Amino acid sequence: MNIALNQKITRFLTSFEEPHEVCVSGNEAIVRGALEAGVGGVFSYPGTPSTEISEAFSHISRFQLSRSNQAEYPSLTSSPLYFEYSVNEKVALEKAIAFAIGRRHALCCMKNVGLNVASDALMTIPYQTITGSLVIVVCDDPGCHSSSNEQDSRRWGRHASVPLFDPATPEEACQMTREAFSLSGKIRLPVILRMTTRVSHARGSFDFRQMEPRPARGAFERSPRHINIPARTATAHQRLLDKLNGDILVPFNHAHNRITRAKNKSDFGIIVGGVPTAYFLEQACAHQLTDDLNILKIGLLNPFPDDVVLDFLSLGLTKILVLEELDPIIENSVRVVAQKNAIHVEIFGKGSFQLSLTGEYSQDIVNHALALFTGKTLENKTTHHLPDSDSLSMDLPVRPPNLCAGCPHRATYYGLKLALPREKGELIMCGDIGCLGLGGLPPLNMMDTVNHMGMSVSMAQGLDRALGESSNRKIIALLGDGSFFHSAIPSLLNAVYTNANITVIIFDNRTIAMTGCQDNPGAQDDTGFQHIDIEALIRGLGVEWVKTMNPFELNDTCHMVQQAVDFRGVSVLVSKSPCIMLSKLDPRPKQRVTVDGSKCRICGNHADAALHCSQVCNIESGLARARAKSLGETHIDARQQLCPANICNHGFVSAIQAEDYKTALEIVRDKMLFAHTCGEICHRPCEGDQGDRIPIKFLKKFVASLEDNFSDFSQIIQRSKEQKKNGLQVAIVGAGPAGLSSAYDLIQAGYAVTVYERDSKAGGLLKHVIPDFRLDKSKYDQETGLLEILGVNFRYNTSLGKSIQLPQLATDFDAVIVAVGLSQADTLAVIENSFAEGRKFNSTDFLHAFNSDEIKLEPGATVLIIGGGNAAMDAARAAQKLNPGGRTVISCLEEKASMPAFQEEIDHAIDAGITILDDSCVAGVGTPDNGRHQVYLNRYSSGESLESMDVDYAITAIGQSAEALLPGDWLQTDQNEPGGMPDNIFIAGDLAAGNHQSLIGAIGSGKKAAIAVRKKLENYAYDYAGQTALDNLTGNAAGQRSFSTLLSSAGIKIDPQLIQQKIKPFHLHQTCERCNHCIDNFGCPSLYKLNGRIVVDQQSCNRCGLCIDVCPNNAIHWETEPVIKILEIR
Amino acid sequence: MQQRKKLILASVGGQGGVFLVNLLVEAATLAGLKVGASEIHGLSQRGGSVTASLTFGENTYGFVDEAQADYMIGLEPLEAQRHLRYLHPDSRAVIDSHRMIPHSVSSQQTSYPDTDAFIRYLKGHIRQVIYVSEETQDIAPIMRNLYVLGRASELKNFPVPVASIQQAIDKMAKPKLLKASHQAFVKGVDFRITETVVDV
Repeated sequence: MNIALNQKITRFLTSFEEPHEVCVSGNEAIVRGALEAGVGGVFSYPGTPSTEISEAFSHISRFQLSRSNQAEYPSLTSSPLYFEYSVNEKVALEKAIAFAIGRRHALCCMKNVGLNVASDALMTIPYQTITGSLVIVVCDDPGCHSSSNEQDSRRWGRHASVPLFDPATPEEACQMTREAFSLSGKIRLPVILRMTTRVSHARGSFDFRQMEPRPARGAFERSPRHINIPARTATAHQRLLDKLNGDILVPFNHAHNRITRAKNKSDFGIIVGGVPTAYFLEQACAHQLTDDLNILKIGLLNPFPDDVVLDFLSLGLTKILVLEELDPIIENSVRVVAQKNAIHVEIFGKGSFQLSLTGEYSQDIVNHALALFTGKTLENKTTHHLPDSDSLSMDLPVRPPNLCAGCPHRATYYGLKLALPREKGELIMCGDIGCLGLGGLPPLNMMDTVNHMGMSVSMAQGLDRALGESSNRKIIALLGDGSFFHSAIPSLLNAVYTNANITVIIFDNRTIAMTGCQDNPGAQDDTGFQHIDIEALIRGLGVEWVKTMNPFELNDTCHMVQQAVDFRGVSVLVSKSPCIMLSKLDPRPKQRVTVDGSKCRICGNHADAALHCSQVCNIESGLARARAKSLGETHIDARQQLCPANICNHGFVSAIQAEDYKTALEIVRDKMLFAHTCGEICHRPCEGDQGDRIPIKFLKKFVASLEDNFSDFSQIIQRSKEQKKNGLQVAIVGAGPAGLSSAYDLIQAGYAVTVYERDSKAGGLLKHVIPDFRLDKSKYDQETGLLEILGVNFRYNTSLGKSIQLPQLATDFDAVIVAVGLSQADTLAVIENSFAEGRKFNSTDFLHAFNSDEIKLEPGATVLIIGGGNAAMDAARAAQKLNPGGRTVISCLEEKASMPAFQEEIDHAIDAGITILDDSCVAGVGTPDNGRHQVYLNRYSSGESLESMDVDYAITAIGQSAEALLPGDWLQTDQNEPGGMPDNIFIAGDLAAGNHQSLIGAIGSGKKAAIAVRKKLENYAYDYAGQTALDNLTGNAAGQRSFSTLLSSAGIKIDPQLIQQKIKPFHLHQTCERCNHCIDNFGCPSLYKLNGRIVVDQQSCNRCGLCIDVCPNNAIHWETEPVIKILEIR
Repeated sequence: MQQRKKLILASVGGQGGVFLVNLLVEAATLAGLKVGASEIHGLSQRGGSVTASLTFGENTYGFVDEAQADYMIGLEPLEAQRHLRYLHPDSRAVIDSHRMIPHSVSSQQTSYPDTDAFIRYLKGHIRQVIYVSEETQDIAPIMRNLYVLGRASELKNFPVPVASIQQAIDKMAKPKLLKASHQAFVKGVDFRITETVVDV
C-alpha cells in the first residue's frame, strides 16, 4: 500500500485530542464520523456517488488486517473493523441488520437505487428490533449524473418509519453520522443518512476529533422481537410509531432543526434542507440577508419536526420560501402543519420562482428565487458573462464517456458486430448498466434496451415470449460480471426454468469497473474472499450451453457467438478478459502500436486521385470489408485478380458483400462501359485457372442484370455534365470496344471526342459478328449508346481510306486513335478453290449474315468449320442452330488443351452436340457431288490419315488480318513509340501490335491509348494502370468448370441470397481510400484522424493490439523497437 | 479575512483533473486557507468532460456558478471553451494546448473549434491568459497536468502558494512518481524565468 494512501488511512483512524482541521469530501466525512462513533462492520455495494465511502473502508480493513501494520500501528489496528462488498445491496443490508442484531455497530452504504433493492429488509426490521446500531447511508443523484433516476430517497424515512438525517455540508455529514449511530443505538431502529452528489463529492473544512476505541463483542439474545409473525405486527406498528414520537428523539430534533431569527424584525422566513442550504448561506453572507430573514434549517427530516416548524410559523411569518431539491417533502409537511394549526402564511416552494422538481439547484437558481422572494437585487457587480460567450460555448463537439482504450468490452462488442449483423435492425440486444453500457453509445450502438441493474436477462426472456415467432433472430442479453452476481442469477435461473430461447453474454472483466474497480465474487485479486467460478455456477443453474472465450481472439469470438446464437434454448457466453484498469493482472506490452500512413486511407487501385471512385464510405461498407477480413476463409490479394480495365475489383466485391449492388455496378462503370457485356462474354483472365478465385464475371453479370441498376446511368451523366472541357479534340477511328473505351475515358477527362465508323451503327465485331445467343445485343447497344449521351460525336458510314484520310485527321485533331480492328478474314486456299459460292464462308461474313438473319442452310446438312478459336466456336454453334438436324464438325490444328478458343466456348460447343476433331487438318477436298465435297482430314501432328467426310458447307475461321488501311511498318511498332507514324496517332485494339484479341484486351488497349493521348497532350502524370493485367492476358482461362459456368448454363435465376452465400468466404484485400471503419465501427479513443489519416494517441493507447485486427487496410502494426522508459509511467 | 476566490477546472477524464483539485485542497489546507471543492465524479475515467471547482474563503462551499470563476485551469482547449461561461472580465486563465480529439470530431459529425481564435478572444476579454503551447518531451504525459499547474502559479494572485503545493505533492504523489511529479511541477513554475511573460 502506498505512502499517500497510508497517510490518509492513518489520519482516518487516529484519535486527535486537539481537533485536527482537515478538508475532506462529504463521503470521507462519513467514514470519519462512523469511526468516531465506533463502527464495527461495513457492508456495501458500489454505486456513485457513494463509492468513496466503501472504498475507504475497504482500504481501512486491508490496512488493519496487514501483519506489518499491526506491528507498526498497534492502536490503529487493535479492533479491526469488518468490511465486505456484498453481492448486492439487499444482502448487504440484511447482513448489516444481522450484525446489529448481534449487538454490533454496522454501516451500510449504497447509491439511491441500491436502497430500492434493499428495501424489503428496510421495511420489515423497524417492526422488530436491533441491539447494536445500524446506519444506512443512501446517496441520491439529483440531475442524474450517473444514475437511472433521480428519486428522492428522503421518502424512505417516512415510508419505513425510521429517522432520517439530511446533511448539507461535509462537516454536517460527519457530525450527523456520529449522531445517527448514537440515535440508532438508543432507539433501536436503523437510521438513514441521506446524501446527494454535491455533498458527497464536495470538500469542506472541519475538525477530526477524539475517538475512543470501544472494542465491541457480539452477542445474541433470544427475544420474541426477533420473530416476525403476523400476530405481532399490529402491536409492533404502534410500538414503532410511539418510538418516533417519544422522548429519545427530542434532543436530536432540536439539535438538527434550528431556527435563526432575523436581526431586524421580519415576517419573511426561509426553510432550507440539504445542499441548497450551502447555496443559500453563501448568498446570505455575501448580501447580509440574515439581517432580514428568519431561517429554519432542517437536518433531521424524519420524524418531521412539526413542533419546530410550528414555532417557526408562530414568529408571525407571512411569507415563507422553502428551498429543497427534488420532491416537496419539507414543503408539503410545512403546509400540513400550517393547515392543521390554522396558520395563514404564504408558502413558496416548487413551481414558484422557477424552482423545479427536477434536477439540481445551483447558486444561480437559489439567487434568482431569493431575489424574487425578497424583492432585492442580489447581483454581484463583477459577475457578468463575457460578451458572445453564449455563441462560443454552445454547439461544441460533444464528449460523452467512452470505453477506455484497450477495454475488453470493446473487443467483445466488435466481435459481436462482425458476427451478428444488425445494421438493418434485425437483432435485439438487451443491455445492462455498468461499463458495458457505454457500448450502447455511438459508434458501437450495440444496445436496444437498458433499464435498471439486472434487467438485461429478464428483458430478453420477456421479449422472447412477447415476440414469439415474429422475431426471426434470437434475442441477446448483455451484462457485466458485476450485474450478473448482483441480480441476474435468479433471472437466468428463471430463463432456464421457463424454457426461454435467449443468448446471454456476460462481459467478465473480473471487477465492478464503472465505479472504480471494486471486487466482486469473480475477482481474482487478493481479496481474502473466495473466488467464484462463473462458468461452473451457470452450469449449476441448469444451462446446457455455456462457454468462456477471450474477446481479443477475434476469430474465435465470432465463431462462438454464432454457435451460441444457433443453439436453441438458453446459451451463455462468458467473455473473459480483465479490465484494463487492473494493471497488476496484465502489464502493458512494451511495444507501441502505430499506423502506417502509406496504407491508411490510401487507394490501392489507381494513383490519380482525380479519377472518380464510386465506392461509398459508410458503416456498412466498412463492416463488409472487416467481415471479409476477419471471417473470410479464402484471402486473396487483389493483385491476384487484376483487370486490364483496372476495375477496382476490391471495391466491387466488397460493395457486393455489403449488399450494395448499385454501388458495385457504379464501381465497374467508373473504369469502363461494358459491365453487362463483360459479364456475358469476358474470358475472365482475372479469375485465373485454379478455380479458387472470386467469380468476378458472374458477379458483374448479376449486378448488371438488375434492371434498375443497369438502366440508371444518371451518376456518370451527372459527372460528365459537371466536367470542365479542356478544349482538346480527339478523333477515334473504329467504333468497336477498343475505340469506344478510348472515347469513354477521354470524354470523362474533358476532351471533345469524334468517333468515325464505317458501319451504320456502333459496336464493331461485338455487335455484328458475335452471335446473339452469346451476347444480349440490346444491353450492349444501351452501353454503347451512353457515349452519345455523354457528348461523343459519331460519324457513321465513314471509312478510313475513302471518306477520311489519316494524315488529314492527324492535322485536324490534336490526336487520333486508330482502332479499326482486324476485319480481313483469312482464307484456306484448298477450301477457296474447291467449294462453290454459297457453300464456303469465312466466319466473319457467316456470322454477320447469321446475325442479320440473312442465311439459310439446307436441312440435314453437314457443316465443317475449320479453326480452333472463338470465331470457330461461334460459327459452329450458329451453324448448329441453323441446321439442328444436321451434323456440325469442327476441325482444328491444335490439340484440345491448346485450342485458342476460350474454354467456356469450347464447352458450349460440345454441349451443343458439335464434334471437335482436334489435331486435324484438311489434307484434300474431293470433287463436288451435288454441291457436297468429300473432305479428307489428317492428323496434324503425325500426318496420318484421320477420316473423310461429306461436307455440304465449309466455314473457315482461321484468323483475322488487318485491312491494308495503314502503312505496313506502322503496325510493326509498339503503340507508344511512333517511329514513322505521326506522333499524335495511336493504335488501339486488335490492330495494336501484341494486343490480346479479346474483349477485355480491346478495352484495356483502348484505355491505354487514351492515357497515351493524355500524356502527349496534357502531360498527364500517371501511367496506364492496367498494364500488368494487360500483359498477363492469356488465351486459356478457368480450366475447370467454375461456379460461373455451372450456374449460367443451368439457367438458374440468380438469387441475391445465393450470391451472398457463395461470396461470403472470400476476402479480396487491398488498401482503400474510402475507409473510415475504425472510427465508424470500433471507436477506440486512442485512434483519431489528423489530416485525413488515422493516428494512434500514444498517451492513451493501452496497446491491446486489437486495432491491428480491425483495420481492413492492414495499416496498423506493432512497432519493432521497445518504448523509451519515460513513457512507461502509469 | 481571507478574500473569496473561485477557481474552475476543465479537463477530459483521465487527464488527472480531479487529482489536481485534491492536490490544491490539500495545499490550501496546509497553507491555513479555508477551502471548499466540488466535482462531478464517477464517469471521469471514461474520457468524458470533467468539471471541478474550488472556492477559497469563509462561507464558501466549493460551488462556482456561471460568471463566477476568478481563475480557470483548462487542461484541454475544447473543454476550456466549453466552460467559457464561467468566466468574467476579471478572470485569469491557464489553458493547455494539447488537443484530445473526441469521437464526434473524428467521425466528421462536427469539427474541432478554432483554438487560436478562442485564445485570441480570451486575451481580448479577460485579465490574463497563459496558453501553454510548448512541448514537454521530458515529462511523462500523465504529469502534464502538474506542469500546467506549475504554469498556473504565474497567474496574478494565484490563491495557493507554490511551497504549499510542493508540500501537498509530497503527501499525495505515489512514491515511485514523487521525484518526477516535483520535476514536472517545478518546470512549470520556472517557465516564466526562462521565457518571456505572456500577458497581464
